[in-house]
Amino acid sequence: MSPHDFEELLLRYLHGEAAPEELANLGSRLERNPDGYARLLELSDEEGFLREGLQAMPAVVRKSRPTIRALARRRNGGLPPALVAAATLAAGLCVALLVLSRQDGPTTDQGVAHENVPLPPPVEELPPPVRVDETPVDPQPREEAPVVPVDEPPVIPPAAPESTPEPSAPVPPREPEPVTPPPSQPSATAAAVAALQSVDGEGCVIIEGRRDPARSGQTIGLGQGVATGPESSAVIVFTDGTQVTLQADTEITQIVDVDSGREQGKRLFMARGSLTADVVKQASGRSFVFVTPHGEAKVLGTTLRITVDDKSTSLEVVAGKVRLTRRDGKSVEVIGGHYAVAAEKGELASRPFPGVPKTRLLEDHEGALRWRTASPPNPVRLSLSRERASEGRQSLCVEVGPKKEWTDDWVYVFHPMTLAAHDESIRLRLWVEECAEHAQWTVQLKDRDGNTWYLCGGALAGERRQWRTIEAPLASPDFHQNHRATDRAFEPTQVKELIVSFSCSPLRACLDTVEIVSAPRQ
Amino acid sequence: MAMDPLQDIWTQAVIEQNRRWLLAYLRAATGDAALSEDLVQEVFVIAYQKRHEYRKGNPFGAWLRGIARNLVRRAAEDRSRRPTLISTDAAWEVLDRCAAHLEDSHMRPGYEAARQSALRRCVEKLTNKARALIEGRYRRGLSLPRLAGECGLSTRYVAVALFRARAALVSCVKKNTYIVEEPS
Repeated sequence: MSPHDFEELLLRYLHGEAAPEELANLGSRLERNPDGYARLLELSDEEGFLREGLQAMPAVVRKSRPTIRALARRRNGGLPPALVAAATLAAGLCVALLVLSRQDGPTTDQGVAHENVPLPPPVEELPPPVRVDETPVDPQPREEAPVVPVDEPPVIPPAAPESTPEPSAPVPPREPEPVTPPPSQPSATAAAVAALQSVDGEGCVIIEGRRDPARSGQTIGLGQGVATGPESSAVIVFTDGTQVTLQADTEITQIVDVDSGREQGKRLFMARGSLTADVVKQASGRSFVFVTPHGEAKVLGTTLRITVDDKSTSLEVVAGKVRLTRRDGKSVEVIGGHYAVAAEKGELASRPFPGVPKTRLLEDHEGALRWRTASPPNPVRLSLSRERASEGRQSLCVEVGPKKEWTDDWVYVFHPMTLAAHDESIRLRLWVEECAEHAQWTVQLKDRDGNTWYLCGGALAGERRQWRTIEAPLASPDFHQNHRATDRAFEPTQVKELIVSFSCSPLRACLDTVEIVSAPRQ
Repeated sequence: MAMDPLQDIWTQAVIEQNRRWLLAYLRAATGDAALSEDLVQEVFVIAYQKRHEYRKGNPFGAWLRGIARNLVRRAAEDRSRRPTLISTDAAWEVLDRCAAHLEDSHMRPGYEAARQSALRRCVEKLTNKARALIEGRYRRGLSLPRLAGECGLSTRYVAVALFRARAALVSCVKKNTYIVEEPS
């Protein structure tokens, strides 16, 4: 075995890709030459470093540089996108820190993550889906067993299993009636149907009414559900690649898969909250159905957003076509760029999106505040401040200490972000208190594939101690010009993160009024 | 070590400093990246629960390795897991010695930051093809067959190309990792 073959084999071992006979060869080689263990450990360290380092590193937009898909297209004339069913592994130290911090006492974290944030987890294949045959699905809720108290916040149990609170007692049915999914499958035998790609904040997996703390990478079985707490979000990825993002205070009480009868497909029983979904085109005869207390939305393959409150279910369709059926049997077809509201009273109709809804990412005391930063060489501090904010609210202040090294690295500030097809721009207000002479800023977006899209940038110096408004358009000629040479097309619905970066130290700056601006609709 | 583990043993900095070498140690021992991630968390939880058993003055890293070793042995009893390379006491002894050196590297102040900084510069220097392969493997976590499938190339070809790209990247990172020592 040559040194090259030896190292390659060690790497395959570290990735779990070595065949048994190769492992046997490797073992005997190491027995003869124990120095190989040092190399094994070194490679293991490098593998972890490369994975975490590359995943933590915001990709710089590189013009004319191909991705893997581009290489494939050049060679094959285009490959169909691979079936992606992603699950994530446990995210570093989060669980341990959660356990420890809970044992140590209350935390003072206000939602602003500082340096060394947990890194994005890797992707792995999910086990194949196993469907439940003839799962009974009640077209009407069962009066005697409302599973989900509609207006109660989800109970996020503490990490210690022995102190896990029992699920709340059922509350009497009321209007609207809560979602009542069919009886759940026993958790021990629940087949994996999806996985939690990420859990940001507090979340729990609902298994037979019990709520266990959720963690990234955890598989979700048939009959199980997922809930997010305040200031939290979670991404569920199904085995067919369908991705559902739960916003704060959202509860999916149960996921089932019906494999026989007229209405085949997956059903998500949603009690409350808000979610967005990117549903992969379903196989013939199958559909993906969101069941809410007010009706159900049947999806054949599209991108949508559903919001459930006490009185109504609101459905926005970004792309594709969805049939929304109210509990009284009335239904409407909602196409891309339109929305409909299912409520007990009022007309059930498909309407174009209303004009200019805005999403403010900076709010006081609320869950959207999920800023984090990455800047290995420089000490960075993120904080909330009322000193530099509009309308008496808070702004996000970024302070970068003097550089300790010669490097010219940037400071990156991230916030989770989802966009709809009709969103037009990101609007920020920036106050620069102090910065270096040649400092610069940029606004970028990161998509689910890890691609980074540059929106705009400029110099920081020159306009100190005054607010400047930055309008970062998603569809400007500059934007298309910047990305024309790349092999990818920008998909707003694939965006998952906003990145604001600064190339300077020291720096003192504040961000305010970070908004998503949508196009007015006719 | 940057701080006395007994004074503030559970600061995030201490955990982070030890997490990286411990992860490499566990992955080398198990050959399973996912399992080693889980075990690292378990090591810290157990270490916290048994923190009163830690004797001041003893090497903190060796204490963590002892916990990790027991966890790996327990995991190895699960016969459904694939066999590992570290199964004899002699192998463990050698791996422990190597891990102590690795621990020392990670304890150097600024080491991780310098490595990360070098990585960023070195990735930019890769050729298009090499960068695409590296990002597919490490950023997106693709397996070799899947990487090959996306590239429309044979698995063997991708394995060799990736190996070369990785070697170039690691070599560049090593050459460009400068640690600025604080004046004493």
